Amino acid sequence: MACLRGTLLIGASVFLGACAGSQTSPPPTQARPLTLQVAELQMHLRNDTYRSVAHIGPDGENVFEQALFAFERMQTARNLDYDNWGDEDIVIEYARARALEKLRRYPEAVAAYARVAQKGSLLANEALEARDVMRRFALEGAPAERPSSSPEEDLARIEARIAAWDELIETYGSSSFGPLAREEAEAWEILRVELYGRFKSADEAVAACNRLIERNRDSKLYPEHLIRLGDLHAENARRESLVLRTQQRTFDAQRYDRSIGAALAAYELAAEARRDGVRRQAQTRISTLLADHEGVRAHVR
Amino acid sequence: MFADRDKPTRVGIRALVVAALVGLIVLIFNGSAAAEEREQIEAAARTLSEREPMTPAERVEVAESKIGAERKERILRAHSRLLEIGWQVLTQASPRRVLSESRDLVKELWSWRKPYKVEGEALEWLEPAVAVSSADPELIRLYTKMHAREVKETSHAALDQAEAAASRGHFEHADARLRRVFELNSDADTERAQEVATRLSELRNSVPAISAVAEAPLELAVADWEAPLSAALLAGQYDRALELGTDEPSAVLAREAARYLLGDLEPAVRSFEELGEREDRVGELARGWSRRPDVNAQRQFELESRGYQFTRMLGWIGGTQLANNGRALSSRGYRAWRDSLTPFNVALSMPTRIYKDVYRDWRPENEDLYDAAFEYVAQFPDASDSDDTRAWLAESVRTRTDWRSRGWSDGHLTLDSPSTRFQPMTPEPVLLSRELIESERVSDVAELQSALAGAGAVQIELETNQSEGEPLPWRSSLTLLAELASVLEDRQLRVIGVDNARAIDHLRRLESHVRSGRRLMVESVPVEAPSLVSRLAGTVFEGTSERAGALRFSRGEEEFYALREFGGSHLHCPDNTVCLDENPALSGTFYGKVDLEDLDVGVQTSFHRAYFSLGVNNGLPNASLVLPIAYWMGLADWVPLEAQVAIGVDAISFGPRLNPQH
Repeated sequence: MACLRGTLLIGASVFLGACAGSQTSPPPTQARPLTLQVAELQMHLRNDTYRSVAHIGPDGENVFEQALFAFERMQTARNLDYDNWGDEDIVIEYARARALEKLRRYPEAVAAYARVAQKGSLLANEALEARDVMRRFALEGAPAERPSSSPEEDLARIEARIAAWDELIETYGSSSFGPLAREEAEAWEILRVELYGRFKSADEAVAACNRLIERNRDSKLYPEHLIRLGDLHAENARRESLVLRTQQRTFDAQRYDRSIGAALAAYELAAEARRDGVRRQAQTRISTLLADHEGVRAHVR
Repeated sequence: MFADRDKPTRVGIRALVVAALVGLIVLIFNGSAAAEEREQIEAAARTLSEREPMTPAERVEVAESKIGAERKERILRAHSRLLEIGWQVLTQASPRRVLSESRDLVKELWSWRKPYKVEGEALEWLEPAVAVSSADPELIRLYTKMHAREVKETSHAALDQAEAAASRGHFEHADARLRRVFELNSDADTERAQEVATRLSELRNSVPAISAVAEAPLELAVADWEAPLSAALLAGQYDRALELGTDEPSAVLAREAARYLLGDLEPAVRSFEELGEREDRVGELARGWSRRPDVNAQRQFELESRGYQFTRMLGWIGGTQLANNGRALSSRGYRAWRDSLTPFNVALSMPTRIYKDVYRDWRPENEDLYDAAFEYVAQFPDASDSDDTRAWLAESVRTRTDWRSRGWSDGHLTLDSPSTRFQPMTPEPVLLSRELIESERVSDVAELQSALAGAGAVQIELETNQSEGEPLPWRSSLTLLAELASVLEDRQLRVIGVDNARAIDHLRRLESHVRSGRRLMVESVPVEAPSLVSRLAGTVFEGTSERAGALRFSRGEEEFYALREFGGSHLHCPDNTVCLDENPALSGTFYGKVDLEDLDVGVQTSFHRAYFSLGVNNGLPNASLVLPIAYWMGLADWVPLEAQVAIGVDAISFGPRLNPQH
C-alpha cells in the first residue's frame, strides 16, 4: 500500500514538474554582451579578494582574467582608433581597467583609467580618481631599480615596502582598494618570513611568521600561513635532529619535542580549513612529519 | 560418585581435579625446554671479538635468513591449514567446512607465486655490496634473482598504468609509463609493451588533428541604452541605472543588479530567480547572482537549514558516525546504519542523544549553516522566523569553537598541544605502583617512600619547568633505573602502556639523561576516587569504555560488560606514561555480561599459557580449560595443538583443538 502511494506521489510530482516547466519557460531573446558582461563583472567586484577566494573557480580560473579577456575581445571586435571612441568604448575600457586593477596589474590599470579620463565624458571623474590611486599602487608595487647586495638590504627594502603598503591600507582601507593594499602588504610579509627563514635564527623566523599570522588573521591565506608556521617549527626540529646525528653538542630533546608538537599543532589547525587543497596539504605534512620523527627516534642513542 | 550432589558442585569438583592435573603437567613440561645457554654465550663471545664489518657472504646470509624465515612461515601456515582439514575430516565435520578449509589451503598455496614480503628488506642488505661492485658470485646470484622479480613487478604495474592512461586519452602519461617499461627491459613484458605501444599509436592517430580554427570575424552589436546603463553600474550610480535601459532581459538583469546593490534585496532576488529560469546567457548570469550566499540569503538559509535538520536527525539516531556517513550510498553508509540500528543504541543511546540535543549539548558542526544564518539574519532582521534563528545562533556562536578563533587570546596565537599522538624524544614519565616500591626489587629510597605516603603510586619523570614533587638524588636515580631495568630484563614486572623491550629502552633513555645532568623528580599519584555511577552511565548511555578503579565497563552492540581484574594493583595507567607494577603470581578477570536475554558471570585466569574459566552461562554452570600441550613440548610451530577440556553439568568432554592465534 505504502509502495503504491509512493509511486503515485512520484508520478504526480513528475507530472506537475513537467507542467510547471512548460508554463514558465520564456522565449529566448537576444542577449546583450556588453551589459551582461558588465553585470557579471559587477557581481564579482563585490568579492573581497583579500579575505576570500570566491573569484577563483573550481579549476583555478580567475573571473577577472576571464572578464578582461572578454572586454579585450570586444575592443578587437569594435576595432576603433582612440580618437573615434564612442561611449561604448569608454565603458569597455573602464571595465577593463577595473579587471586589471583586481588582477593587481597596476601600471596597465593606470593607463586604461587615463585613457577613459582623457576623453572627458562618460566615467571621466571616476576614472581620474581611480587613476590617481592606481598610480600610488603602481609606484609602491614597482620592481626595485637594482638588485640588493645583501640579505640585510633585502630585509630593509621589504620592511620599507610593508610600511608603504600599511600607509595605503590606512588611507584606502575602507574603500574597494583596501583589500588590494592588504594583499600587497601580506605578500611582502610572506617574503619577509622566507628571508628570516633563510638568514635569521629559527626563533626569529617563527616570530616573523607569528607576526604575519597575527596581522592577517582574516586573510584567505590564513591556513597557508599556519602551514608555513608548522614548516618552520618542523625545520627547527630537523636542525635539532642533525645535532643528534653529528653529535656536535648535546641533543636538546625538549626543544626537539616542543618543535614537533608546535608543528603538529599548526598543521592540525590548518587542516581544519574549509578549502580542500590546503586541508590536504596540512594532512600530508602531518603524516610526513610523523614519519620523519619516527626516523629520528630510531637514531636516538 | 556425584549422584547425590547438586550440579554446580559436580562441575566445581571436576574443574578442581582437572586444574590439579594441569598443574602437574605444567610442572613436568615447564623446565623441559632447556636453554642452550652455553652455546649462546660462545656465539656472543665470537661476535664481540670480531672487528671487521660484514662481508658480502655474511650479507647474503642475513638476506637469505630473512627470506628463509618467511618461507618457514608460509610452510607453517600451509601446514596448520592441512592439519585443520585433517581434523575436520577426523571429527566428521560438515563437508561445507572441509571445503572451506580446503579452499583456504589452495589460496595459501596459490599465494606462494607472489614474491616474499621481505624481499625488499633483503634487497636492502644486498644492494650496498652490489653498488660497490662486489664480486661475490653468491651475492650477485641472489641479488639478480630478487631484482629480476622486483623489475617484473614494477614493469607490470607501469604497463597497467600505461594502458589505463591510454584508454583515458592521457597519451603523454601513457608514453611516460611505456618509456619506463622499456627502460626496465623486463623480458616477461616485452610483447605486451609492444602491443600497448601499437595500440597507443592507433589511439593517437584516431584523434582528429587540431587544425587551425579559422578566425571568424568578431562582431559586437551594442544598443544605444547599453553604454549609459553599464556606465551607471560601473560608477556605482545605481539610482540612475534603475531609470535606464529597455524591457530586454539583459537590461532587466542589469537593473536588478543595481537594485540589489542599492539594498532593495527581496524584489531583486525574486527577479533573479525569475530570470534564472531562462535557458540563455541572461538566465545563466541571473542564476549566478541568485546562487551567491550573500545575495539569496533566504534560499541559502532554507537549504542549509533543511540539510542541517536531516543531519541532526541522523545524529540523534546514530551519533556522529551516522550524521557524517548516513547519507553515503556506499559501504561506509551501510556500516553507519548497521552500527546504529542495534538494540542497545535504539533503546539507550538514541533517547540520550535526543534528550541532550534538546538542551543544545550535541550539534553537528556546520559552518555553511552558520554563515547562511548570519547572512539571513543580517538581511532579514524583521522576518517572522528570524528571532528564533537569532536566539539559537547567538547561543551556538558563543559556544562553538571556530577554527579561526582557536588558539587566539589578546590578538596573539598560541598553539595548543597537538591532538596527533607522537612518541616524544624526552622520556615520558614512569609510574611505579605501591606494590612495586614496597617490594624488595627496588632499594629503599626516602624520597620514594615519602611520595608514597597516602598515594596509590609514584611517578618519576625528568625535571621540567612545570615539574612538581621532589628531586631524587643522582645516585638513587641511577640505582633505581638500573634495578627496574634488571627486573624488566628478567620479565618479572607487569608493564602497562608499552611492551617489555620498549619499557627497558625507556629506562635507558631516562638513565642517559640523568647521566648527562638532568634530575629525576618524584611525584605522588593519588588513589583514584572514581565516580562509579557516572562511569557506568557513560558506558550504558554513550557506549564509551570506562574505568573505575579495578572495574572496567564496556558496551558491545547488544551486550554490556563489567570486568574486574584480580592480581596486580589495579594501576590506572594514563596516556603517554610507562607503568610498572609487580607481576602477580596469578591474575585473571571476573566478568559479567548482560544482554537482552541473559546474564553471564564468571572468572577467567591463565597460568603458563594454560587458560581456565569458570562461569554461569545461560543459567548453567560450566568450566573450560585449555592446555597448550604442543607449546609445552616445544612443538607449537609445527603442531599448534591444544587440549581443551569442557566441563558441563552432565559431562566432561575432552578434545584437541588448533591454537586460534597460530
